[in-house]
Amino acid sequence: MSLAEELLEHARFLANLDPRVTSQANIRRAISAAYYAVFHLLAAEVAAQVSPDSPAGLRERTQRALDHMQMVKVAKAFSLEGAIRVKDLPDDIVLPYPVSKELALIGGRFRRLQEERHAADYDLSKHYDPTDALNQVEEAEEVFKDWKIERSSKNATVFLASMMFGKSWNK
Amino acid sequence: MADLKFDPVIGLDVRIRGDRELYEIIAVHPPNSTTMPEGWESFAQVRGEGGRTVDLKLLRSDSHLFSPLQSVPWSWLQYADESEIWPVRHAIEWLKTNPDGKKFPDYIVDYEVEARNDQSGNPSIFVRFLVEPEYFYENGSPSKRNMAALSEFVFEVDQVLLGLDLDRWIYVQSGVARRVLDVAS
Repeated sequence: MSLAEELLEHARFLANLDPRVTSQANIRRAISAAYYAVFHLLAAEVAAQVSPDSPAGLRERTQRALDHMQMVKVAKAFSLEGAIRVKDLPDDIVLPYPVSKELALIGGRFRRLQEERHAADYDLSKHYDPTDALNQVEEAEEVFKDWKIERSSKNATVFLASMMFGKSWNK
Repeated sequence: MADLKFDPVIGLDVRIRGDRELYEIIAVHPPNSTTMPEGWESFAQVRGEGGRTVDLKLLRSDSHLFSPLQSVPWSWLQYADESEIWPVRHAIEWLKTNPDGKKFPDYIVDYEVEARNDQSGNPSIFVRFLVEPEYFYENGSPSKRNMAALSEFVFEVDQVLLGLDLDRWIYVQSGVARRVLDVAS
């Protein structure tokens, strides 16, 4: 089982604890784990695309170099279904196809999950309901499902490469 | 969703693209009902515009020194930062009319719209739909079916709001409506 899948399972476990006895800590950790499940799902795909797995540790180092803010910028850029141009892509990189519904869903959910993760970890003024955690876990599960459909598309290649290199492409 | 159009409204604060000044709409004219100021007409024709126009009053302490701008093409305007919530609310109210046969979920009892920066500092608009557990739950917990439907609805709203091109990050979220009893306790 990959780390991403383990995190999703952990999030699911925490979110499904008995709502009568669960705690804010459990709910917040569930929301956070849901985001990190998706983060590691995509980060592992980026690293697999841009880096060989030998020598040992190279791909893991590559994955470590990913930046959450750059990833969410790309997620935002790919959030509009049917778009044929996405923000910050250099002119010579043209999407082979309009953004699919699956990729737009992944982009939108990544944005929301990251924002919710931040609030769950740091915003003490918020009170979370167990349903909030279930919703976030559901969102993460849907990303996993949609990614299975999208990952072999030509647009997915651009999506992943942008997460790693997008910041440097317009130099 | 391409047919979503906003009508200019008297009293709305706006800016002219490329101009930092804040204006208030004081009159709205239907298409082709007014003559544009000299020089603007040819510019508008080049841009292929012939739509509604508005009269604008400058919102500044010394605004009495300036005459209102007349017959400014609506398409030249952008919402002032302070009123960017307005088109979002307008879009959601439009969705409540079940356009294209898409049903606004009946377990959503309210929504909140807030303009603020996100955690990365991006100017953003947050929309939170509040669901009523009594309708959203089945056997004491959120129904899988309803959660999937809510997720699909959130996506649709996200797409509509992204289509407004508001130059803000959009976050469409959902949460449980807090009951009065909960708040009191």
